[in-house]
Amino acid sequence: MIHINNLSVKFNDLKVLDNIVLDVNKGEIVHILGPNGSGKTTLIKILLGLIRPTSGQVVVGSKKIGYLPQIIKVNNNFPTTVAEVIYSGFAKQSLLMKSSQLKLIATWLNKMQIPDLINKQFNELSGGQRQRVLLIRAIIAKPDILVLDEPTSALDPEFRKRFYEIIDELHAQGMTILNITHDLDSNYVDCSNNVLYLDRSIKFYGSYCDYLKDYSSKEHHHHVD
Amino acid sequence: MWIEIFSYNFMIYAFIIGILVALVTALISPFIVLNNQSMLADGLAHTSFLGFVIGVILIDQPIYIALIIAAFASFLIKLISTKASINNDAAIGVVSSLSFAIGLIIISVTKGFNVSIESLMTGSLLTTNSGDIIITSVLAVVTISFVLYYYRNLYQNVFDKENIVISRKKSIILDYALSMISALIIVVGVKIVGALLVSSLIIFPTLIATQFKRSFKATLVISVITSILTMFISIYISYLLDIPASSTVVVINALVLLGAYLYKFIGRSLIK
Repeated sequence: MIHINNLSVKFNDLKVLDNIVLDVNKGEIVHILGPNGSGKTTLIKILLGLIRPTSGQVVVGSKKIGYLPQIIKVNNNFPTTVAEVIYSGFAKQSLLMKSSQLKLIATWLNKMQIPDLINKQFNELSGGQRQRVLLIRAIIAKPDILVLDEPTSALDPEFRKRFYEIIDELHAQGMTILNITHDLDSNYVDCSNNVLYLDRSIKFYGSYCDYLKDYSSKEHHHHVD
Repeated sequence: MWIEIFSYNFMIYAFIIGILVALVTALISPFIVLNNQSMLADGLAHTSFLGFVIGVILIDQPIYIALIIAAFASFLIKLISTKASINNDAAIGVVSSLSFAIGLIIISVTKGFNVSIESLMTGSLLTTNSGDIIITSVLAVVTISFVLYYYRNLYQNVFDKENIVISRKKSIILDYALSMISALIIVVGVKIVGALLVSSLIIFPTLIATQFKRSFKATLVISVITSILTMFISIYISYLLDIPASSTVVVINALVLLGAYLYKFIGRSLIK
């Protein structure tokens, strides 16, 4: 689904990504870990077509991509409702929303435990609520690839569990998922998941269990939070 | 007595053109103001000033030359701000003051320049002709079709530009098309309210409508309604009081904005 060969990215003279070689198959779920400034967001922005690589090849096997950004800059006076924001995630949009589409939006808001927000102003939501609304926008069109940039950063611990259940559900439907995260919780992640540890170049790529066995213990000597 | 105003052809022309211009400026207003491009309107107005100046020298109907020059300038501003490492507002500042300066030089060296600078600065709503009505109507049809057809893309383009790039829609083409249409709208706006005041027709509708905190679509509808109403009322008042229509539009809009702001303020304190 995703094929990267000899990818390097430089911002001016700063090397952000160095010689990345990576293949992600359809239906895989990959958690991307690494310290701040390690190029995680740059890597996914290249996959999304938002940044051009300095050198190397990147092939993404589908145009149906859902993206949950880490931050979205919205003017505080921007007048728009939750329904409108989510609707902009549909592949086919028209001037008037169809009732079936509105129903689907309502169903997802229920699933995300924010059922009453559909007509609320987007800019009046809390950080966690925004993140859930943008997650619905990313998945409502059933993309082939879902890219998440620190999706749990603003979520309360209670909802975090629900979030991973939803991710599992999407994964079971065959969605390829890339998830940048700082807190990989063994309660929610199993060995069928892959881990990519990035620090400008790929330091580890393999199953979550191999990561725990071989890499994570070594890595913790260097990074004690 | 109040109906007497409609017995003059020039007043009927003024109402038709005024309302059409109010409609099209309000339709593009949210996509410009909420995209932090309010300066664009101002910049293009200065460029159309140059267009009109050159147009007056070359042909009978300066508006055609102004349309071409403003369309070209809008392209140039977009190009400078996306390609060169110059901020958008700085790019607008450069292009607009340069074209304004060139316009003034041309006026000063042209013997017998027979159009008053004042009419270019403050418009001439009462001396429009049927040709102006045709141009404005065509522009209204183009603008309405453009905004209705691309509504969702235009929305996404102001709400979250990254996401429109990811969904492989042509964000850049949309940007150019929007600024091209804005340029044409502003040229017609310059003709009726003048280069100094035309940007207010684009900025006020959204400022007023956002006070009501509704959906984006409702905001667009409120923009259009307030824009048309304020234009109608302003032309009427300007006729009754014998004051310039262009200045009246700006003052009435400012009053409506103040009213909308107070409405929001009072509404909020009542809830508390």
